[in-house]
Amino acid sequence: MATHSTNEFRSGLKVMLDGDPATIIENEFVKPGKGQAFSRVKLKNLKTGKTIERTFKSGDSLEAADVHELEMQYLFSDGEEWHFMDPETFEQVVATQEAVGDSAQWLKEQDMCHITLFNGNPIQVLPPNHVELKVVETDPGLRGDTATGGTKPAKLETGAVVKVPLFIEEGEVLRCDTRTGEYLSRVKT
Amino acid sequence: MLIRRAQLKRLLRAELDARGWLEIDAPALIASGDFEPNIALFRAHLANGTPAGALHSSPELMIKRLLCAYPDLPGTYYLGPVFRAGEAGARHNPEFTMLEWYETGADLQAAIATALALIESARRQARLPVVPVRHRGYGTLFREQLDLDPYHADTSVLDRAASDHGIDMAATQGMSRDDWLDLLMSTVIEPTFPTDTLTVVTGYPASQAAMARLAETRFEGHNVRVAERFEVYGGRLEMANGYHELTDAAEQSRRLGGQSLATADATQRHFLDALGHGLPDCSGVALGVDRLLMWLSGESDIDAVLPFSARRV
Repeated sequence: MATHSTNEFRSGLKVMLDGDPATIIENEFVKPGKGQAFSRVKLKNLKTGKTIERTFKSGDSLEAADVHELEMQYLFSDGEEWHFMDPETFEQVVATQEAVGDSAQWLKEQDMCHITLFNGNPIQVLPPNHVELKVVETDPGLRGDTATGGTKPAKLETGAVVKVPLFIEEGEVLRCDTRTGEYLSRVKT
Repeated sequence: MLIRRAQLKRLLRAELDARGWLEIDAPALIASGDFEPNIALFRAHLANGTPAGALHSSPELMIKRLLCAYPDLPGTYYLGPVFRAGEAGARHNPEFTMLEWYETGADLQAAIATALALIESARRQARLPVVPVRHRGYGTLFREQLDLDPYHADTSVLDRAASDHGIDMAATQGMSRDDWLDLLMSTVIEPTFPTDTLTVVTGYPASQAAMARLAETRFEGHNVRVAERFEVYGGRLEMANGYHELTDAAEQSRRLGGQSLATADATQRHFLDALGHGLPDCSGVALGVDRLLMWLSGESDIDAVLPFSARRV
């Protein structure tokens, strides 16, 4: 198995830490002039998203993690598993609830998603930053009331609930930012 | 920054020249080795792969050989590049500028005074106010910050102290007592040093002496063996290291250990031969010019004070 020594540590490097894949966020080199050198490393566990701080004696190494990130198309879900396809190779992968997490509420069939694969299996699924989704449920709109800035909840076709202006009606298509969970604009259809 | 750098080098030379000291051009390409266990050398090779020596990590061996040959020199210095493999980070560049001087007849206190005088001159030149100087014993620092005795604490005590301060070591096997002390010094103690202050640390354990003489001192009611060694920190930045130099050739050979002496390379053998002829009583100090420039200009990344750091060459 390939390993990475402390002198190869740099941000973005994917390594195995405590049995989980992790990415290096930051590596601080400390060394007294005459003394032993150390690397103080900040890592992110790619499964849990937790940040970990660990100190290594210079020369120590970590196993490389077989981690790839790629864009894949979301195909469908049966509620327990989510299916994705590489549009170039047509290769398909199946993601579990654990890997999909909160992203599930934004996934619309045929959208391109950012998938992190570990040993060939998805461990993280990120929806596109911006999605266009139809409103399936919201209180009746108050026509003309565009100035007061009031909001109401609206449920989208993929399950996400966003705060929208009062004039939005069921059946309209909205542009949303999946990173903040915010409504951006109406999409003319 | 280019101007400040040039001015600083000019000032350092002028200060030492005014004392009647001699600047020495130590060769950067040496046959090999030196005696520092924690400093890795860059190895040189010919195009066909034949080993061709190494780049020096300090001019120490060469200057000491000259001092053995010319014991009447009052002082000598080298100002130029040195190389340390694998040292790269916000405070380290694998090639950096070192001012290293040897003052004949100077004990440790005299060496500290010279180092502080040079740094004060540099601050004056940069139109910076005088800063306070704090003197701290190695033992006192560890007692104050970690409540332990660094001369006697065993590795399990040091390991626990590190954990208590949130340092999670990936692996602890192979960590010697001095490794633990180095770790605690650089991650726990140095960050507590006040910024606009010079901190002079003395009383390093005898195991961290390398080429320094040893002395006895009192710590918490015990006699402890310490190195005649000091470090000067500008704020939290280690800037200079000095020794009251070991002149005893037999002791120097002993510190190398039988095995490494048997495998000593040409550079080491020449040095030990010279030491056998007698090194005059002297102190030697190495000052990182880039670090000094960082401190004077308030820069936290060495990249900011180098025309081309290793990240950009």
